[in-house]
Order: sequence, then structure tokens, then C-alpha cells
Amino acid sequence: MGGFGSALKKIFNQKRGHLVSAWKFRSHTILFSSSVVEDIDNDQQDEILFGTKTGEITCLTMQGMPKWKFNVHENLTETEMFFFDPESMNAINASPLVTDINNDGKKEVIFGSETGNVYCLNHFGQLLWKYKAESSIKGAVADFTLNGKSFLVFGSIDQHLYVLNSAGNMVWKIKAKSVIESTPCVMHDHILFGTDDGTLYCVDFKGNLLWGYKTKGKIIAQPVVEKLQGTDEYTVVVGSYDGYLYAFDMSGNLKWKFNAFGPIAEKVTLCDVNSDNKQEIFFGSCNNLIYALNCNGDKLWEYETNFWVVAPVIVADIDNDGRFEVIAGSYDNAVYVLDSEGKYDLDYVPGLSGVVQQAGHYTDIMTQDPGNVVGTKILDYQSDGIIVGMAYSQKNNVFIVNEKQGEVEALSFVEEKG
Amino acid sequence: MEIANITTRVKTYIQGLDDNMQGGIPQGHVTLVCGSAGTMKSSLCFNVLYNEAVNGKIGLYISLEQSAKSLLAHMANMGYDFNKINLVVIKDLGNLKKEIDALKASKKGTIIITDIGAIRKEIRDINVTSANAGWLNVIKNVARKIKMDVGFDHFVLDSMSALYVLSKFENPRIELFYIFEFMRDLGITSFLISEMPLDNSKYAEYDVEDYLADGIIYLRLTRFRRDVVREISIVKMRGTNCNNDVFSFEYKKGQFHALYGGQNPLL
Repeated sequence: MGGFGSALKKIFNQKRGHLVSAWKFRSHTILFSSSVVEDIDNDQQDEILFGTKTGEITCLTMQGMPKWKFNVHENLTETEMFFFDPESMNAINASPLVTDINNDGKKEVIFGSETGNVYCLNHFGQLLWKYKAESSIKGAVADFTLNGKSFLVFGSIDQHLYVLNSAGNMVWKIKAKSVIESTPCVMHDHILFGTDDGTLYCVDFKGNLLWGYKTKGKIIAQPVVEKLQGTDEYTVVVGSYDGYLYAFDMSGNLKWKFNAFGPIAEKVTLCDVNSDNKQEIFFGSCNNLIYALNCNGDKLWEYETNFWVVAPVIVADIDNDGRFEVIAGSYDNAVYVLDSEGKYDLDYVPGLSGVVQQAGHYTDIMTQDPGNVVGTKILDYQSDGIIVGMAYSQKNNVFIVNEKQGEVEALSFVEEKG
Repeated sequence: MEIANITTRVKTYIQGLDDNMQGGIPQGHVTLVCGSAGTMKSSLCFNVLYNEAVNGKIGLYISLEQSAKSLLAHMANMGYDFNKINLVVIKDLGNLKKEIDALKASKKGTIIITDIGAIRKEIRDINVTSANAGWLNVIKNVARKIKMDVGFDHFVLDSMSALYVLSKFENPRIELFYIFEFMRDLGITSFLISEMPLDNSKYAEYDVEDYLADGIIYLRLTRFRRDVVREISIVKMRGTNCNNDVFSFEYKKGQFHALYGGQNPLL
């Protein structure tokens, strides 16, 4: 759209278009988490990878065609099998990690499973190695580099945080006071992870405890560390099942907390959507709301869906108009595209709204804002199932939506002409 | 609209009680049997399984704490004749299939006792026990496998309190809902033994079991001077027109009795 049209769109905040389904892949099993979109084989084309309840990692092309599939089926003894739910004993609960862990110039696919194994596959989906932890792995595996060497870190139901080297050998492990379901976050010699007793731990690369902070609900969301304020100071942001989003400095001091009134299950998404050199914070909650906060934890806007928002929120400029949109999937089966800056809604117009003049004192100085910023839906898309995962391919401007009942759907934005 | 009363009932085999609850507990119900220590909860449940086994039925008794040996010694002392039934004790999960296969040819009723204490000792080296749901899965998988291979009619879990120690419940209300639904889906009549605190302040640990259960049988000890008497009452029994009064509860000559007098018989 040209200059005048674009200006009009900004003024009236009306984007015209809709999300269309490009294709749908049926995995015929249950999905728990988001896909990962990465070019794993350096062919300049993104691939889509996701894990399933039945223990399969599937690699799809961006056209929704299967490239390869790896099944983690483990031969357990008859006695061992009694300890697992037969329907989910091989489940892959979190998104795989795609990284070049062995520095061979090609990416590997690394993930944990319900049986407690961590698998490392090459980009053809062939097993390179596996490592057995003492119990189930619920979160994803993260990676970090130390002295030029790559390492992997993950938590387990056995309460341990494990660090492996690139060949899949354990370097060290430390025991937390509770089960670890969260995905660790690594930043500047710090490893951060949450536990089911509500503690956010920060340890160094040798496993020494630097600090911990106890919330009142379990932490399964991955912490996020970023320079929120536009300065050099890093901030840790993490949500808890107690319904609060917490922000800490890197020494573990609480900077602020925000009450989202519902458990927060996924990591937040950060983006400077208003070009003020400060990061805004976007996340969903199990009180059905999608929130936008500023870097100080003040609410910018909220938008209510009809059920929990568990999948990570995506912030992207889907229509190339220079402004960001917020895209979120909900348990109500819908994908919402929201205006990242919300819309200003006037409650009254000073000098014009008679009600205010009648109810107030004429001598009072008007201090109340004349309105609020509210979350504004641009459009939505009704999928066929509960949305448990969202991913985005910037290269293709396509959203990959994972539905609990096993469907992986690609959505693209189509602008309406005229 | 008139709904015909066609409910099949499982007797409690407590003389005087079944007559006060339309013949027994509706088949498929999940019943909480609660009381403090020494109120004969395990004996009451075993009594149901035993009498049903004498009539050709199969019952599964999962003991989480008391060993099968101790339980059977106690029951033998009460006078149960184990020659009338098949008695299978599972101490090794690896032998479950063999034990079940041996049952297939038998026409006698059976009590299968799964001794979880013995299984725990057997498998202490296996690194799967730290999973929260591990032991709960064992119980479900044992029940599922027996149901699939030979079928069973009645189930006793002794006890819920021990289960809570073995498996930490993060969201008890949700997890217990699924456990109760699991038992209902199996189509079995279940008895869940619940250890009550000494002050009898609640029927079970999480205060939700009594809502989720279809029935509650409450056993208690009542002191009168230097004597202690046992009492039984049906707190609730869905789909049943029952007498909720407190009965004296006695075991005499190989038979449980609920003595209805409207008052403590010692008075």
C-alpha cells in the first residue's frame, strides 16, 4: 500500500486482511509444545521440527511435507514399563533445540523425553548419541559456550540440573530442592532455571549457586534475560504459576512483579514495538489474557481470549507496514492478531462529557487520564483445536500453529486489496 | 419419568448393614472406607473380596505398606479359609504375567494381592522411582493389565494415605479426579482405604476425596469408660436409599455385624 494508504491505516488503526491456512499436517498423536523453525541443513530453506506424545520427532519442509522422522521408542524392561503411563512413556514434552553443538558447521537436533533420555540427532534425523538421566525430562535442552566449547544444559524430574558436553557425556549435575520442569536460560556465565517448589535458581557454569528466589507457584516457564531498559543492565523476566511475572537484576534482587491473575506457563517475548529503545514485554496467562507491559512492569494493555493462553506469544510485522503485531494462540482454538501498541479508548472528553462535569467539583484539577490503552484485535483465525504451540518463520512470513490433537498448521497473512 | 431401580449391588457382607442400603454398594462405585487406626478398615475390605471370591469373583488388593504376609496372617487369624479361593501374591512385577496366566484356567474365585512393599525392595536399583507419578502408574498399570488379561471385579487400595507418601500430588484435586475416573472407566467396584487423623477432623488428606467418591463408609472407635467399641456408618452412598445412622460394628464367629439399636449398646 502506498504512502497515503499507509498513513490512513496508522491513523485509523485498521489493517485489512486475514490469516489463511497454507497447509495442515496431521501427526495422529498429541502435541504438547511449539515447533521449532530453523534451517537445519544449510539449504537456505527453513525446516519445521516438533515432538509428539508418542515419541516422534518429525521434520517438515515449509510446504508441510515430511523430510524425516525419528522415533525414540525405548526397550524398557517389563518392570520399568510399570512405572510409566503407557500412552505417554516415550513422550517428547518440549520443543527440540536446534544448534551446531559439535562445531561441524551443521546443525544438530537435541531433545529430552519422558523416559529420561536426551537424544542428539544429525540434520538427517540419525541418532548421534543419547544420554540417560535418572528420570523424565519435561523442559527443553539449552546450550552455551565456554572457552570455545559447546555444552548442553537441562533439568529433570529427578531434581537435577545436568550439563553435558557436545559428545553427550555428563560434565556435572547439581540437585535442586524440587522437580525441574522448566527450560534453563543461559546468559553471561549464568544459568537460570525454575523448579516446581517455585524457586528461580541462578548458578554459574560450574554449578555453584549464585542466588535463588522463591515464588509461590511452580516455575515451568523459561526465564528470559535481556537489556530491558535500553541500558547495559540485564534483567531476568520469568512467570510463575502463582500468577505473577517477576523481574530481577542479575544479582537476584527483585525489581518488580506484575500480577497476571493466572498461572504463566511460557516464556515472555520481548520487543521494542514503539521505538523508545526499551523492550516491551508480551505474554499469555491462564486467566485467558494476553498482556503487554513496559520495561518497568506497568501494564500497557491486555486482551481477553476465551480460554488459557499457554503457547508463546509472537511479535512480528506480518504486513510489512513498519509496525509490529502481536500474535497469540489460545486454548479457545483461535489465533489472535493484535495491535502491539493497543488502541487509546476515550472514557470521556474533557469539556464535552457532561457526566463528569455534573459528578465532579468544578474546582478540582482533572488528574485522571481521559481514557485507557486497550488491547485491540486486528483479526483472528479459528483453528480446529486447542493451541499449545506457536512458531514463526520470518523468512516465509508464516506462523506454525501446533494443536494439541496433533495438527500442525501453517498460517500466512493475506492483505485485502482495495 | 420413572427410572427403574435396576442397579446391581455388591454386598458388604456385614450382617445388618446391607439390608439398610438396598442390598449393598452399587456396582462400579468408588467407595472411601475411612477411619483411624484399629477400626478394621482393611479387614472390612478384605471381607468383601473374600466373600465375593467364594462366589467366583476376582478381586485385586493393592497393599502399599503392610506386607502380604502380615495381611494374610491377620486374615487367617480371623478365620478366613483360603482353601475356598485362589490366592495370588504378586511380589515381583516381572512375574505378573506368569501369575495371571496361571489363573486363566482356574474356575475358582481369586484374590490377587499386590505387595508394593516387596516390589519396592525388589527394584530399589531401578532409576525410575523418582518420577512423581511412578508408583501411581504402577498401580494403574497392574490394574489395567489384570483387567485386560483375566478381568477383575473388585479393587481395594490400602491405603490412599500411603499413596500420597509415595507419589507427590501437585494438583490433588485434578489428579484425584483422574484416579477416580480411571477406576470408574475400568468398570470395577473400588474401595479406597483412608487413614483419618485421630481427631477424625476429615475423611481424607485433601478434603476432595469425599466429594469425588460415590460412597463413604466411616468407621470409628468410641470410648465408654474403660471400654472401646467400634462403630460404622454410611455417610453417603450415591444412588442408594440408605440408613445413615451409626451402627455398632462387631466381628463374631467369622462374620461382621452392624448392630442397629439407635444407641451405643453399652449404655
